[in-house]
Amino acid sequence: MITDFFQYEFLTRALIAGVLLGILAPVVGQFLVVRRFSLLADTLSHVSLLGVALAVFFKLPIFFGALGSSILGGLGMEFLRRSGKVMSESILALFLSGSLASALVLLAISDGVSINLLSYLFGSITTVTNTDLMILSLLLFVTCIFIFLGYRKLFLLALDEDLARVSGVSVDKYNVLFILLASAVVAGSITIVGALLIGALMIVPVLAAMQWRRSFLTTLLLSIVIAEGSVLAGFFVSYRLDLPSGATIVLFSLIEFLVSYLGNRKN
Amino acid sequence: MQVMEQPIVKIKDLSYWYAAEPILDRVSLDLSKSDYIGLVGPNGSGKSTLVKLLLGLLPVKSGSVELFGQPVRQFSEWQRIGYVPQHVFRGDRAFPATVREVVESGHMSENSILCQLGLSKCEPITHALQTAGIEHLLGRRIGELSGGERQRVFIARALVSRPELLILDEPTAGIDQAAQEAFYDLLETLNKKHGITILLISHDLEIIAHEAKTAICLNRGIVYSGPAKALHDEEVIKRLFGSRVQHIDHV
Repeated sequence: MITDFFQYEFLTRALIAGVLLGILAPVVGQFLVVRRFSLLADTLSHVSLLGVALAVFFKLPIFFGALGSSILGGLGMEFLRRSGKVMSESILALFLSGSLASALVLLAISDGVSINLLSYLFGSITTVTNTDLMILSLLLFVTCIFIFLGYRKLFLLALDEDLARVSGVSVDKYNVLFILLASAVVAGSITIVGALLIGALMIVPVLAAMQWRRSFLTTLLLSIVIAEGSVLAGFFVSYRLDLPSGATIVLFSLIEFLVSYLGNRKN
Repeated sequence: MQVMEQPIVKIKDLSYWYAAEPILDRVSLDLSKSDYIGLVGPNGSGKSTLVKLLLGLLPVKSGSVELFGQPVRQFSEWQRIGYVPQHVFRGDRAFPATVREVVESGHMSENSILCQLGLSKCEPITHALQTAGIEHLLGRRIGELSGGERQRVFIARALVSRPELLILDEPTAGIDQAAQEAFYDLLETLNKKHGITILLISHDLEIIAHEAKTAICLNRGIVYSGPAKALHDEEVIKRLFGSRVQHIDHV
């Protein structure tokens, strides 16, 4: 069955995309979870939808529309958070609902422009192009370099911002760089996994890994293993049973969370 | 006559305000090597603002702050300062970090991924663990420790870079009496045996009077600066808290 699977080029591309996302999503996701920004991924993905709508409206490439709006939205949220005038969770709600509403209105007033919004809400891992793979590979490379070089600073930021500042970390610079990275990862994944599910792929494997109560680095590596497990299992099962691939992958990561949670109840 | 060294911290005519509300008014103080200074004041007296200005967490609006002879804005040798914040580690119990990772994060210059994977030779943390008395906690997760144990972990983290100045903001808030006593014994050892200058911030007069050598009482401005033992003096207490407050010894 697996050999049959690799006869189809589009399925091979989809599998490679899934494996790349299985590393990218939890690596960025872990820093979101420990900083209590779990909903940031969801918010960014909804902001990306607005970018998709704008790209369609102005006839621009979808990825650049999603990337631009995601980065602007991310920086806008960081600016508001830093101003201290709006509570952090409220900022997420503001951008999430605001961007979705704007996207829907924009599409409604775009006479003659048809777009299947559902495909961007749920994504389609089986329509991955070579360009998508190149974008994901580049994102993975940049993410690995950034995390590798800035690991201790990012760890300290997660632990305590003031402590990081007093240890000489350029907190504002690292916050902005991290927002840019998270925005790019979300924009690069939206066409594949969809706006509604990328957040789950970034967060659920991390939550599952955290149930094993290991060190920060081990949890990071474990979350990659868990994400890859759900990507591979979800991919093959969805192919065999003709199910939506993104949703099946997320369901498998939820099963892994449940197993991890129940298996570590006594700890 | 004692020879005066260059102060480690020099604060001169420091004033600060939020909107039109004055928080600090022309505060001046010096910290010299091996000092053990207790900064005390009631809630809202400006203690935390003073510490934030001292550490560069807030911009200086009026006056000056120098650390080791450099204006705080230009200061970059942060490894010379160990800081233990007031609400250290606000994360929840599930935060995935071990004591080893937290203490090692005091070495900002090295790549911790390579260290943890054993691919690079890294600065040892043994001296900090031994001094703080937490070698037995090394593999434990930070979220699973008691308040007293956590404070020791963050002291160890601050000691990793062998600092000359240790700043502790209300370090024993919410910690039981026995853990507090052990904690202050540790601070005394760091000051006397290792010569580390300590700035201890607290709202508790009794702790400062008992633990510090010198007390600085803050109520927007400095209302007392002198031997910590004199904090029992009724006059000092009145200047700090007002005339309706009386000193009662802890039992």
